[in-house]
Formats: sequence, structure tokens, C-alpha cells
Amino acid sequence: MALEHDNHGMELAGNAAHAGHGHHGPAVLPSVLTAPEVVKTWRLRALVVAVVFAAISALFLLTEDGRTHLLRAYLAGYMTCFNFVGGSLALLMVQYVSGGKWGLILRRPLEAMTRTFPLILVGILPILFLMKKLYLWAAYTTKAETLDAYHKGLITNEQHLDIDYRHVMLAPTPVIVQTVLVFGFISFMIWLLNRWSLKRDQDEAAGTLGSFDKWRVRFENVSGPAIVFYVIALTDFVIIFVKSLDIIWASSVYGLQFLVAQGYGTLAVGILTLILLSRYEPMKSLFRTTEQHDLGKLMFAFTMLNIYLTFAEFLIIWSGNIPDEITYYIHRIQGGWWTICTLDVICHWVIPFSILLSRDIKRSKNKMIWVATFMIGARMIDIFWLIEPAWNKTGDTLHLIGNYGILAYITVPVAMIALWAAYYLTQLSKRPLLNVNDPHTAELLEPEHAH
Amino acid sequence: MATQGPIHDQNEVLDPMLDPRTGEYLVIAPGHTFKSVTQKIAGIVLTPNTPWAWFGGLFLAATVATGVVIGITWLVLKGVGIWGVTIPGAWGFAIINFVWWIGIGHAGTLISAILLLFKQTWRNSINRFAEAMTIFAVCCAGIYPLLHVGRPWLAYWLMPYPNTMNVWPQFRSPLAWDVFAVSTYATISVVFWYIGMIPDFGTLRDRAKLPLAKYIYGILSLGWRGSTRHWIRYESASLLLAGLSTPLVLSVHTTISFDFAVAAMAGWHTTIFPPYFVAGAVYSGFAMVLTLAIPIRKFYHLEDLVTERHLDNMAKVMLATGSIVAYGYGMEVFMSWYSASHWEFFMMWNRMFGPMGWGYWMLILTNIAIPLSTLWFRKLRVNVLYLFILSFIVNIGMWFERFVIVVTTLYRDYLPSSWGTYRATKWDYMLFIGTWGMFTCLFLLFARLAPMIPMSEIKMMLPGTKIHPGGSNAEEVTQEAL
Amino acid sequence: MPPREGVYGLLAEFNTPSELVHATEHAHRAGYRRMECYTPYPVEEAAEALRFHKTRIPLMCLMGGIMGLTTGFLLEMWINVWGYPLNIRGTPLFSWAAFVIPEYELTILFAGLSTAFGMIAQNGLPQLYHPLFNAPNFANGALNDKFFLCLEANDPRFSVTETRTFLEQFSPVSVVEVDH
Repeated sequence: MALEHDNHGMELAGNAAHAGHGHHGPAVLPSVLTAPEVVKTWRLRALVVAVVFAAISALFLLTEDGRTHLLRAYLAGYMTCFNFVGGSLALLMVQYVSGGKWGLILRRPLEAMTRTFPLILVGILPILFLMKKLYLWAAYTTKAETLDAYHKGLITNEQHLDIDYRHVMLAPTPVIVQTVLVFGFISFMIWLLNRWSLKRDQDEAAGTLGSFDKWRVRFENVSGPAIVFYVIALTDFVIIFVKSLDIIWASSVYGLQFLVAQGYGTLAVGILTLILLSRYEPMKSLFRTTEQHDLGKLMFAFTMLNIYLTFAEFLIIWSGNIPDEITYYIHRIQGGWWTICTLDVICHWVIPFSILLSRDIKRSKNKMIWVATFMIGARMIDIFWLIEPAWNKTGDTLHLIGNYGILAYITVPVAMIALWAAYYLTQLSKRPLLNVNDPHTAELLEPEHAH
Repeated sequence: MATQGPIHDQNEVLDPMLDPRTGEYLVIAPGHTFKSVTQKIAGIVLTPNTPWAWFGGLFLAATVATGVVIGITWLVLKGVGIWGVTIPGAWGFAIINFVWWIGIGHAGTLISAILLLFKQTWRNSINRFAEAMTIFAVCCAGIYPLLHVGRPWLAYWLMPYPNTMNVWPQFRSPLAWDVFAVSTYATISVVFWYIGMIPDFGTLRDRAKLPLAKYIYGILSLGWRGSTRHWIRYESASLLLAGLSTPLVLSVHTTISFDFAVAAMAGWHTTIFPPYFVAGAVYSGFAMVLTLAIPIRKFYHLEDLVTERHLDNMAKVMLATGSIVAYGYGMEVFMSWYSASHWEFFMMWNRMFGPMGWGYWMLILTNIAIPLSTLWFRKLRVNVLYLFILSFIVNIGMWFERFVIVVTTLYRDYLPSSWGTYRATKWDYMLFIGTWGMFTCLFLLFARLAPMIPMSEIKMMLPGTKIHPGGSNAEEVTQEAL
Repeated sequence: MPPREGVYGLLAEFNTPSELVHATEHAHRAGYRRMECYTPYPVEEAAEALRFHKTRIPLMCLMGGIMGLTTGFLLEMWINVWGYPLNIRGTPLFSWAAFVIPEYELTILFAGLSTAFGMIAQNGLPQLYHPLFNAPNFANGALNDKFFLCLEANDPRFSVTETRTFLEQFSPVSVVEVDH
């Protein structure tokens, strides 16, 4: 495979794409690698969507019920955006460790996604300030308070005992400490990887074996252990901010489930970005069907992993049938919630699964745009199903009449995702779309093999 | 078009096993042609001079394997009572070894299926014997549940078939799921393995000198003649089988984890079990692939085809899956606190500091501490001797994992009055050690009689495969000469 | 039925896949249709030159999968809901969640077997005798290191002399006449 392509490694190193190739030979590396102007238009559109939906969301402030739901919907939107950012960091590190051309082409979009972290950092503040309204452990912070709440019938005995038991971890101060640690680690990794990525391209020795080797080993050595720490940090974060909404429930696979969900969402955003960009240079000549196909397979794998972990968790808890655990599912299935549950399974798994089985669709640019968009939407249903039923009491039913506040779960996450997207697109246009000081860059320019 | 790759320092001496373009380890050593690959791999099978060491190894393995024959005979004569399984430790070695062996098998399927889907071409050198390993490991694993049912001659009752007793399997039991999972797994693995060997059997048929060998390989090859239309269908089928095996391998160990997890037992009933069992299985499987690959590449001089790249990658996979396993252990400990369940907490305390606590610390030492602290270093990842030793350590660790899971939960459950202990008998050990011999025997026979490395897949990775428009072969020749 | 005696075809031997693909492409352009390439490993470009694209294997796999799923579902429903209903710790007779796993395994089993046997059947295997095995250079090289193009005699454009001249312009190692 090697010799014929060697000359292109040279071209990249000298960043002078010279003419003179036969039309059979590999493509030429585009001279301008920055994002096309059209990204600005997309950003404007995203901002318009964000403003419109934020304005609609503001209407919910008018009623008490609306305000309650607004905050919960904010949590849902926040977690969706957090999943994009965390997922992109995880995927960025994974591709440094695993290699593969899918990772090379996706690298810069992933980096741009990670650089939206300031939004996540600021976005946590409302949740921290209003945590009393969301979490029982924040509403009742001492033994006396929980006992009092129990006597007043605000919480059950089980909840009262569990809150007391978990106060070491779940109370305002420990939670803030843990959040700082988790965010500190994540922002450090984002800073480091982004900085190195630029330095790698500016390396004076760029294009030499020594430079390739140095950077590959560096990124590998940092990313490997960081993935492990990231998974631990993520687990902690989702236990605190999502799982603890159901204070009694405990499930050990929760962290991994979120990890997979992050991969699911991030890949959808990544594929969408690449396909849309590929209508213009430079992605037009860089993004090959082969890599799209590989990314599609990866997305399919995450779709499968997601249902696998979700179903396995359900089956284990369903079979065990222990009151502490099964209540979680009863709140999420009974009282009309089976519609949402079924919708979640269908949109989050059945439809993407069936569509992505087809090789032709995975290779089709126009169709994959719709698949990726649909999957981002499915993430919203999933997060809604995870969050809102936490406030269900036995006998509650899901209804819309008189409960219009629940519509905030549509408007708020859409506004937040749109705002996030605008920020992401800003970051995307800040750097060249391809990391050139990588020996595999040349391979992206090769004509596609039939297989 | 005559420029070279990256600029090389003139004094720089490149390791021939490194890719001069990227500086990464090569998958196949340079200098191989289609012919040399055929000669090398087919030569191992078709040589008239079987190495004496092979006979020696087979004899030794067969001696150990008599443990299986004796162990099973005595068990059939006397009953499962000869084993250490009793109340409360009713699962004992039978289930520990079953899970251990089947877990080892999973790396084979992973290598042949998942890595094929993700175009990790380095797998081509090791997938065949990894698949063989899968099948032999499943053979060893299958012995245990069949014997553990008590009356192995009635094991067919597990299948749903119309019978005069009018009794049927109960599909809400994970043990019934196991029957389907393991038998499907065995069947599909054998089919996948055989389909993979058809073209290579064709090559052996064409090159065999002995009429009998020609005849047998001819039948096994089904008359394969390398027709392009056949190849396209064959490739399509291989990819589909890989696509089916991937979820299959996940489901098999998941189902095995359900054997534990769906029961409301402290230490078993936890939702992380499925992914962490699968990761553990792959972990031990890759260790076993290393245990086998390292001596084989040395003995048959296959260093060109099973290169440092393979060792490095396998060690990396072990690092990744080992980390997932470590995460699983961590979550178990964390959840024993977070769940706020007295029983969970006691189980974890008992697991660590109870009378059998040594098992837990052995597990942490061999499965987590030693491998996960050393595999981060690239020097150690390509150190053949270290990896060989480590592969044993990890498999010991993974055995202890199942030991800890099975035994600690059972011997001290909710009711202190029913507490007991577990002790394996000499028959347990005899059968277990016997299965090692059986596994080695089967593997040695395979290494002698079938192509260990898929020739056609290796050829696909050679430089000579490049297609030049216009059909000129001038460049081709220079490439092969390199 | 193809004729059972006389010439099967002309077999050209090449050293590299590029030459094979080149010759095949030109043979197709020259109007030959009944032809086949023989290679030691899959050469997709050769399949393109033969205009052979789609196989029916994925369809067979899908049908097998659907059959397996149906079998699993009906088996479990019949046994646990109608044939031999048992109350197991109060779970419903139709416990779909528990039924998923055997259904899933049977889906994979049926899909896998239909893929494997479907491929073998579509390829017309086992076929232990084939005229090409009579050519010594084919037996020696086809699954080793040589690349062959066979233009078959039942092609309307086939003529022993003209086809031989046609093949020789691609400078093959040899062109051999293969008998049935």
C-alpha cells in the first residue's frame, strides 16, 4: 500500500500542493483548509432559532407550573449539551488512541465541540443556584430537615433515610466540590488537547518521521489514562445531577449508559457537520464516502450499545422486582408514560437501527443528514424520559391539559441546543478543518477503493 | 511522482519492522510476496517432517487431558456429589470454569468479527487461530453445565422438543437463555471458522503432495477455485457473519451475566454486570490469544506475520478491557455503599475481608494491579517474554474474578444460619486441569492440520495488490522486489 | 446444460492483478460476457470489470433473521403462554422482556446459517470437479500467486483462434486451452 502515496506525505509537509497529477491519482490537498463562509450563515440561523425558542420558553415563567417545568427542562437541555461536549472530548481521546481515518477527519469538528465548554461551565450555575427546587438532597440538607419533611409527609420514610445516608456525597457543598473537580479535569483536558493540536501543525519539524512519532506518542500517552479518568468523572457527574433525582434508586450501569449516549449524540452532530461541510471546499475533497461509511457504522454500533445497556438494565431490574429499584421503571412506564417509553425505544433505537442497517443509506450524504438530525431529536426524547418521571408519584398520569408547562421540554432544549450549535460553529471556523501534520492525512486524498 | 515520504535523517537507522512513512509498527514484515506467504503458511501444514516437539507437546497435553476422561467417567458413575458443590455453595467450580472458558473464547469472535467490521486489518494474521481458540474453549466450557445438570445423559431435556412427558423449558429462566445463547454461539463460531478456511483448504489441496491429503483438503475446500463471483459472495457473507457475530458475542456473555444478575442476590444483582462481563471475557480472551500466539510465532518462525504491531495492539485491547473491568469493580464497591442496602454492604465487606478475602485481593493483584500498571508502557507492550508471563497472570486473575463472584455471594447470603463454606475436591481440580490438556491437544492438532493464518487475507494486505489503471506492472515488480 | 465435451474456454495467466483487471475490462468492452476471473484473494476491481455488483446474500441473511425471530417468538409463546403455562414468581405468562433473549439468539442462528449456506449454494458449491482444474498452471497458481482470466467457449463471441489473439495482446504469461 505504501510507496505510491509517499510523495503526498511530502506535499503535505511542504504544504505546497503542486499540480501535475493524472486524474487517476490522488486528489490534491486544498490550499485553504478553513471552514467555508457559509458557516456564518448557519450560525445566524442557529441564533435565530435559539432566540425564538428562548422567547417562547420565557412564556412559561408566567405560571408556577411553568416555572417548575422550565427548570427541569433546562436540566434536560443542559444535559443534552453537556453530552455533546463530554462526548466530543471522549471521542477525541478515543480516536487518538485507536487511530483510524474516521477520527482524523472528525478531529477538528470534535475539537470545536470541546471548545464550547465555557457554555457548559456557565450553564451549570442556574442548576447550582436553584438546586433546592430540583433535588431532594438539596432541599433537605440536615437530618433534622429530612425528618421534618418526613413528618410533614413531603417525602417517604425510604427517601428520608436514603437522603440522610447519602448526604456525605449528595449535599450542596460536596456537590459543588465534585462539580469543580469534574469540570476542572474536563477543562484541563480540553485545553491541553486543543493546544497540542495547534502546536502539532506548527511544529517546525512537521512532516518528518520524528515529528509524527513525537505527537502520536504524546497524544496517545495523554489520552489513554485521561479516558479512564473521564469515565469516572462522568459517572460522578451524572449520578449527582441526573440519577439523584430518584433518590432511592441505584443502578451501577448508569455512568456507562451516559457514556454511550454521549457517543450516540456526538457522532450524530459530527456526521451532520461533516456532510454539510462537504458541500463546500475544503471538505468537498477531503470527506470521502469511505469515512462516512465508517462513521455510520460507528453510529450504528452506538445505537446498538445504547439499547443493549438500557435493555439489560431493565431486564435485570424487572427480574429482580425489588421495590427500591422497580419503582424507577414503574414511574417511567405506568400512568401514560408507556407512550413516551415506547416512543423512546422506537425513535432512539428501532428507527436508527433499521435505517443504519442499510449500507446504501450509510453511504448516502443526503439521507444521512436526516438520520443524524433525527437521532439528535431522539436524544431529547430520551433525556425527557429519564428526567421528568422522577417527580411522579404513584398514581400520577402523564397529561397535557392543565399541565402545559411540560411543553417546556420541547422549547428549552431546542433553544439551548441551537445556542450551543451557534457557539460550536463559531469555534469550528476558528481553525483549519484538518490536522495536516499526521502521516495519515495523505490517505484521505487517495482515490477511494472499491472496498 | 518520484519524491519520497517524510524527510529522513541520514544517520537515522530505521527498524525494519517500522513503517518508513508513519513510524508505526508494520502489520507484515517487508519483503513478502503472494508466493512466500503461501509457502510459509501452507508449508507448516504440508511439511512431511512433523517437528518432534509437536509430538512431545501432543503427548504431554494428551496425558493431562486424561483428567477429563477420568473425571467425567467417575462423575457419571458416582454423581455430582464427588464435586465440592453443595448447599450453600451450589455453583462452585462447575460455573466458575464454565464462565472462565467461555470468556476466553470471546476474544476469538471479537477479533474475527468486530475488528473485521472496523477494517482493522492487523487482525488478519491472528483471527484464524483466535477463532480456533474460541471453538476449543467453548468445547471445554460446554462440559461443565452438561455435567452440572446432574444426569448428563438427559441433558437434551434442555432443548424445546415435543416429548411424552409434556414438559417444556421455562423461558423466564436465564438458564434456558443460556442453552440458546451457548448453542448458537458454538454453531455460528464453527460455521464462521469453517467458511473462513474454505479458500485456504483450496490452496492446501492444490499444493498437497500426498493423495490422501489432496483428497481430504479437496473435499473440505468444497471445490473452491477462486472465482471472482464466488469471492464477492464470499466477502459479502463473511462481512454479514461478522456483523452477526458481534452482537452474538456480546449477547452470550451478557446472558451468562444474567445467570447471576437477574437473581436478587447481593453481589450478583447489579446492572453493570452485562458490560463488565463482556469486557472481562474479552480481556481474558486476548490474554489467551497471547498465550498461544507467542509460542506459535516463535516455534513456526511467524514473526513476519505476527509482528510487534499485533502484540502491541493486543496489549492495548487488554489495557482497554482491563480498565472497563476495573471500572466495574469500582462501581460494585461504590454501589455497595450508594445503594444504602445493608446486604450489599455486608457482601462487599465479606468479599474483601471475610474468610475468603484472599481471593478478592488475588483478583485485584493479578487482574488489575499488575496488568494495568504495566501495560501503559510501550516497551513492555512489545516485550514478548513479559507479555507471555502477563497473559498467564491475567487469566489467573480472571479465574479469581469468577471465583469471587460465585463463591462469596453464595456461601454467606441473607440468613446467617444458612452460612457455610466452599471447598473444591480433587475431582474438581482434576477435571479443570484436564480441560487445559484437552484444549492444548485440540489446538496442537489444529496447528498441524489446518492453515493457522488465513493466506488469502494476508495476501490482501501485500503491496502487490495495488491496481494500476492501464494494467502496467512495471511498478509492481519494483514493489515486490523491495 | 453447458456442453460437456470439447473446449471449456481459454485461460490467460497473469502475474499481477492490474494486468488481470485491465484485460478483463477490455474483454468486456470487446463484448465478451461469459468469462470469469480467478484470483488468490478477492479483487473487487475484477468484479467491477465483470460488472458483477450485487449479491443476494444480504437478502438471504435478512430472511433467515426474520424466520429466526418468528420461530423464537412463536416457540416461546406457544410453550410458555399456551402449551405449558407456569406461574414463575408472579411474572406475567407473556413476559416479553425475558423472551427477548432466546428470540434474539434464534434470529442470529437462523440468519447466520442462511448466510453461510446461502453463500455456498449461490456459488454452486460443493463442486469438486471443474474443467479448469485440468489446466496444470491453474492448479498450481490460482490460489497461490497467479491471476487468471477465462473466456468461456459458450460465449457467442468465442472463437479459439480470435479469442486467443485477443488475449495475447495483453501479454499474459500464457494462454491455455481448457477442455471439459
